[in-house]
Amino acid sequence: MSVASATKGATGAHPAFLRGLGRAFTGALIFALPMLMTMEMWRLGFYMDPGRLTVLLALTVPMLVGLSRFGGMRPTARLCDDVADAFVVLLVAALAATVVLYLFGVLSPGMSAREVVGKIVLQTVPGSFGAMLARSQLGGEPEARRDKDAPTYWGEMFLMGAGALFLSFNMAPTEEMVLITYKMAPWQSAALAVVSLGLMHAFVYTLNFRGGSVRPGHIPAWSVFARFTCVGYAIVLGVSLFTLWAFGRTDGDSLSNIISACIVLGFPGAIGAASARLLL
Amino acid sequence: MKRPADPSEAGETKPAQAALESTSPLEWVIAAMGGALVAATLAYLVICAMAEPPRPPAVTLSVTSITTTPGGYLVSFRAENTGGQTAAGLQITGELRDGEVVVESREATLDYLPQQSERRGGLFFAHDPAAHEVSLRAHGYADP
Repeated sequence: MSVASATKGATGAHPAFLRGLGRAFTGALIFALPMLMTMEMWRLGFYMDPGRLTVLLALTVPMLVGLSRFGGMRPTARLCDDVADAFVVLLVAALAATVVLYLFGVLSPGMSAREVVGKIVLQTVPGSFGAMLARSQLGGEPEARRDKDAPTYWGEMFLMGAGALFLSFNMAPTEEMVLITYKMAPWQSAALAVVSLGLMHAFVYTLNFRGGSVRPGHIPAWSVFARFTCVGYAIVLGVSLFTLWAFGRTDGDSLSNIISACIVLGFPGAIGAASARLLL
Repeated sequence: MKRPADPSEAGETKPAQAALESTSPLEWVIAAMGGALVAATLAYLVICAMAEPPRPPAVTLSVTSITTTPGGYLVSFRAENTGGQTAAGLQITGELRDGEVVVESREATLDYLPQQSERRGGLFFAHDPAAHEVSLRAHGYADP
């Protein structure tokens, strides 16, 4: 970033912020590259319903504000700082998506504004997640006091939802999602749901109790299962349904197909949700 | 971020208060740009969603160039969709005609032709297109 070298050292705060920008850019690339290189994502950019794309982008903003509370680019004291961070990462992610898509030749002259905007917006969503998580993922500044406070129960649920959304975003647009659903017999769907729940519980149990808010000695296992795993899995299925709907994967499908698609997408979603504390 | 603080950082002279830095003017400028971009994009998408009646694809085909290749001739074409929906698997046939007689016929498929956009392709012919009448037609498509 040329801006970085130009303004560096001007004041004390700017170099840290510009380093944060650089990290955010890297984070956006790391997290969005699999999707930037998926052709279904390019296609969804132009044939996805603009109303659903609007909902997706509009929901991304509060999601990023929430992620910024729990991690994000820098330790923040006030909510308006989180909002500022959310818009900064959106800009960085949009820029990263535009540059990469242009270099790939996915954006070219002769495409309508609708197509170009759609392709960029769709990539900006996962990219902004990556940019927001860049700090916790790529290290950097010393951790602030607020970071040591464990999130509340609702905070945990929010993180689970964010983790699920992030992982489902990788899979939901692909053709394989639909193909897997068609290949599975009903009993296999049910078995996958059970396996997802089991894996999720194992993850929650091992990860949550590692320096988390919950102490294993104080709470019985069934309570953890009911309060974290089951509620978490319900959130995962909800996120899966939302993602499938947003990408038009539920249109004209039967209820049983939609349910099994949710379970299939819920499998990576459950892993994402349960490991959100590691990821996010 | 939920890791306990690294002991090596304990020696940091910066007090915890300073770590909770507030937003700098530069960051507010960038945040405002990001906010404006998001607001503009949302407005644009809402307009698209409201104003986009499900008009079917309307495909216009035109020859852009005719060049010679080692095996014959290449007719390059441009397909433009002026409709409101994407055409997937668009089949395009090109014919060399002498009046009613079809001298040669070639086909190409465009995977996707988005609404209000153009895509390019080419058809290989053995006969010289310059000596005949070139006709391009779109046959059919699928909804994506």
